[in-house]
Amino acid sequence: MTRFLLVMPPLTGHVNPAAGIAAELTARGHEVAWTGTESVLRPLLGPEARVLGTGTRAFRAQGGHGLAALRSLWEGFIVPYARFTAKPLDAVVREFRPDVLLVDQHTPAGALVAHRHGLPWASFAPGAMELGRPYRALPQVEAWMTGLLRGLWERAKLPGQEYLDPRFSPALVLATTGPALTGDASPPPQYALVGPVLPATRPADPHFPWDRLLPGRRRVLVTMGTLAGELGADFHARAARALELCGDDVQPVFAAPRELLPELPPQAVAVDRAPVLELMARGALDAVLCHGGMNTVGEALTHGLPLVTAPIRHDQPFVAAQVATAGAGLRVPFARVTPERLAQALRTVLDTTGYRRTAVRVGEALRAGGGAATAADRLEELAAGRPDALTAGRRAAPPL
Amino acid sequence: MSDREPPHPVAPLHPELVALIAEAAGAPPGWAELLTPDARLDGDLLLDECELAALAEHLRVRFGPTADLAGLRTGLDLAALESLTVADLQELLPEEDAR
Repeated sequence: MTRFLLVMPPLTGHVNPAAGIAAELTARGHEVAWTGTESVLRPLLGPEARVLGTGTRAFRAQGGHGLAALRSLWEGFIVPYARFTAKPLDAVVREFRPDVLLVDQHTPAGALVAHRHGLPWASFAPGAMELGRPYRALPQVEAWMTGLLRGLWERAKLPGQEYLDPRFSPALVLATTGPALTGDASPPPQYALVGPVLPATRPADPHFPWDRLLPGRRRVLVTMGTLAGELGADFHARAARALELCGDDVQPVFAAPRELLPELPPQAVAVDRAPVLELMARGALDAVLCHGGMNTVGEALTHGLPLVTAPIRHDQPFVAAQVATAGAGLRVPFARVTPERLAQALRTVLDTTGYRRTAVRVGEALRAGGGAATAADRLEELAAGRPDALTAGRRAAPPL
Repeated sequence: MSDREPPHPVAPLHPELVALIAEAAGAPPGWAELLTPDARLDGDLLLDECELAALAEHLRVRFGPTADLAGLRTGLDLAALESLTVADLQELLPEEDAR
């Protein structure tokens, strides 16, 4: 039995795939604890999960676009969150005494505390943001990120000569994507591209209006993540019009807060939260219109569904480009796409068998990554191997 | 589009430059007509990294290696990248094309 500590940010899209890995580890008899913002983790993980809280504080809401969003992510969340959680994380490690940490790439403080205690740690990359170094063509942007991370390292009073990029464990990087999307058939050996991590069980959602799914229609799920405000209302208005233009044989299913939606045609289904995996597993969908978030893309492709992506920020443009390059969908510009062009893209993925065929093929390739089972295998190997470079005699960490 | 005043008078935009930006942006008809020299590629036109990479390639193919948007961006820090405008792109064009 090994004790795993999962260091996760208060972000649903990061916690959900990690929960699949946690379930697999628990099923194998290991002890799993989570650490982070309990008020966010608890509702996502349920009452049974062991959650060691690091305190609650509001951080800047993620918004904006492009480089402004990148700046906001780092300066408004990653760095201040790491500072805020540094001491509580140290206390959590002393209390739980994990054998291995799984550290999300957005929570570098977890890597710092692992290094400080001489504990093996793996990185968790639930998106494409950092994997392929998307900003490698902009060395000053990469240097800016490195400067911020080095600042955290220094603040933790770790020896400068031991600096490691806390986003990339030299022992293991678990990523929920695969070569079928990244295009890199030979990633470094410490990279485990395990594909989407889906929950083993899908609880049925009795509140979803299943009886409103019309027979003989092709259905498009519209799910744009946590899009809010005017930006969200504007896009959903264009999407609703586009789906009307697609014709009566297409039934839209919107997963969005009602206030973001315009008046919809009678055949449209609209819910705040859709049982996405259940809809996919039942074969109730024919295509997905989304923002290009890695989880939604992985879920759709795993179920052989082609996509139209309208990426907004962060890793979404890169994931959307990967889907388009793979031939499993089309990408449209979120800010500029007209209803007519969006309808054209949707009809193309619905009417062209090639997109669906490719989505099925890419989905099979992603599933071959092994998901939670492979992730758990690799974490067990890390626990068993305890590479010297990482543990170095399991230091007795001085108090912060 | 930005509502900032341009810092100095700039030449009218090269129509092919405008067309290439619109193409890289996947923009609808009419969008290009609203382009102004002081529009920022990131904050105003909302071009993402993939669209900027496509635009760099379009410029290189059409105007040759000196119209090197990728090279220009390589040397800029985050603030300068955020400030990059359509007028900056026009300055990359060979002299005979930029007029």
